[in-house]
Amino acid sequence: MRSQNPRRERAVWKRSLFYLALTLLTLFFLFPIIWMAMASFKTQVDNLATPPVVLFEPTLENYRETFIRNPFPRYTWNSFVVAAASTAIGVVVGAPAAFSIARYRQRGLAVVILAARIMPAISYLLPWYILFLRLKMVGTYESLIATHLTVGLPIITWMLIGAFEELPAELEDSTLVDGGSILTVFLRVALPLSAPTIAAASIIAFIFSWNNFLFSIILAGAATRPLPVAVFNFVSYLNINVGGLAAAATVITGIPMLLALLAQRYIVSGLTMGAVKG
Amino acid sequence: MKPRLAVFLSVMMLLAVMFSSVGVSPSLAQEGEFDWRRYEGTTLRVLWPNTAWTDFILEELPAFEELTGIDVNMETFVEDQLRQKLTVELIAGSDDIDIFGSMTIQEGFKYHQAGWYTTLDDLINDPTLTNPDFDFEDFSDGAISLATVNGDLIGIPTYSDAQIMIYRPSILEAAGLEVPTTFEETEAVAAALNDPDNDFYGWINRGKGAAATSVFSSVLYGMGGAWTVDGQPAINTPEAIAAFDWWGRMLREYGPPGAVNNSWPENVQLFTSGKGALWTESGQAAATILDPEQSGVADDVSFAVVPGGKPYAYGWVMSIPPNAPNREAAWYFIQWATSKENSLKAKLLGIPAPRTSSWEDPAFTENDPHPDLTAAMRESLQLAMPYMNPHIVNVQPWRDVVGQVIVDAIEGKDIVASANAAQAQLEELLKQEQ
Repeated sequence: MRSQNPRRERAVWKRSLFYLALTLLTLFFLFPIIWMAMASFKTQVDNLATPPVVLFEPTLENYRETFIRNPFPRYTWNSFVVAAASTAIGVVVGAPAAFSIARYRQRGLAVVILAARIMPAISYLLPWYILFLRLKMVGTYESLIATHLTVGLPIITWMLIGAFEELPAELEDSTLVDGGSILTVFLRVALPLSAPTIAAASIIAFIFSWNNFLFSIILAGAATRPLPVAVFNFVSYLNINVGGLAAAATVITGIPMLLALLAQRYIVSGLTMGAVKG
Repeated sequence: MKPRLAVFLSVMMLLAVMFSSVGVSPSLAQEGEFDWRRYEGTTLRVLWPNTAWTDFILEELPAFEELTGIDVNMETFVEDQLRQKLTVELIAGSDDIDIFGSMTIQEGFKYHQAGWYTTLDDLINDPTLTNPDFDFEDFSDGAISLATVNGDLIGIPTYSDAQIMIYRPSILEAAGLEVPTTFEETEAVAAALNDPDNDFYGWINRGKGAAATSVFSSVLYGMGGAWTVDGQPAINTPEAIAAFDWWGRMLREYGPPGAVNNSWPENVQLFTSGKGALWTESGQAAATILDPEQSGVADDVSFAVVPGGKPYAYGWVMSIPPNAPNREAAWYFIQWATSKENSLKAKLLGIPAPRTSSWEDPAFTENDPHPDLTAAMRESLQLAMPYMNPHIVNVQPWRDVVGQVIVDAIEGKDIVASANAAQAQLEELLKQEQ
């Protein structure tokens, strides 16, 4: 009887339409990733077939090629070191900067930091290269980490400015009244309360660094070559190893995706924090 | 620098100088025999593109390190990345590159003007630095032309490839058609075999703007045209117009739909999945097409000289930049990598050799799995001309402009108007260069 309630029925309809749309949208966004993962299990003939083959005999050959015959574990480690270190330094430097900007309204400083992100990255490359050449630092982790900071640091700082500005002033004032210094406010109050945003900003900075191609190609050496540069070695004139490329790409995509899934709750709450006045 | 560190470094340098001079004397002792170990302990940095030859030489590398005691760090990149990286490093005056690769017909004039090459004559002519077995005369004239810019020998070719025509013999045979050699015959064969209703096309080639200009060069020169005449662009001459017209018509009438989006990756896919009868591409394509792992037509494909008989040649050349820290050791690596022995080994793997001896060696001729390919390649290398691109500095802008005329021709637009517009732009481009 209840189900015949027209209002309820409409609600059910609405909901199923909503989920249908959601499924279609998800499929739309996931399709390239699914396709890539499929290609990584196909042979070259299946990968080059037109029309594309949907049912095929899966092979692990591409993964063997990628991870046993090529030093991909090494490249993965390089990417990880650079992304993790540049993100960690980004948080250590960016969080106090953001706090200072938020608390003392240093708008100009904030814009200067953002400028690093607005300027086309390629304009830095030549001066950087010359600089690192003089310092004998081309091809070192240090040079890669330093340059990747220009990608991650502005993002971390700007996301944290928003988070710190959202903190109620009363919390800060009561800490100061209780005899705490401004450092106590930062370390004991502002930082713990902004943990979700810090996590979100770190993930995003990590992914930006992980995906960075331009700085890495110029500044990385044979021993520090990261994944995005290495993956292109599956391409050569008149011969593209589609399966190997897909296998490497699946792993490249997989690691940050896994990280993002683990920290998903933080990312969503961190991104919206500051957008909605509570 | 801290004083103590400075002292330490100068002592080390002194020691290094002393030891290196000690290292030279045994080489003088063994007179008559080439001393491969003269630069033992050196480490070379090589920036090199990803090619089939690269895979080969990386496999062989331990043999060189054992022979000479020189360590080689070969960093390989996809072509465009290599160009980016080289440009940044060489502009910055890096003193960290011993050897680099370039495709002279693409960037040679630019690099030469920038002073990034050194001539190698002094090394080749020095009997203490060049193994007598090296035999420079063995390199074919065509291959040497690929390593010569403005008359300077700026490197040694690692392989020399030429454009060839690739076709499906069974399909031509079934229709009772001969392999075409002229443009008219090619058009007739393409028209006869074209069957778009069954997703099969008489002619497959590049139509994607700038990417198409290199393969188009064979038609331009085959019809009597040229990129430039007396240092001026010659894109709107009657011969050039006829070439654009032919290229456009072939792809429009007998080519796959959407040909203006096709470059070599699309064409490899079309041809290996059995959708085309005739195609012209670099000889290196044969390796992919003949590999049953990668190709559905591996057992039904053959090769010939391109229609008009004016194929292009190209190849990657090993050069030493002016600031190379180990010029002599670098030369050791280059002469070993391009030696008769390695050239032949690469040839046996299907890589077109720059040395005549590799093509004539019984080890190759008696075991040649594809004599039809060899015949087509040898003839094409003889006929080939180094005009895949014009001999100018700004090759890429030039290709963009000419690529637009090719697209217009395929789309059936007014070719004369398009070519005249391109001619004006190219005249401006060359004026800026001078």
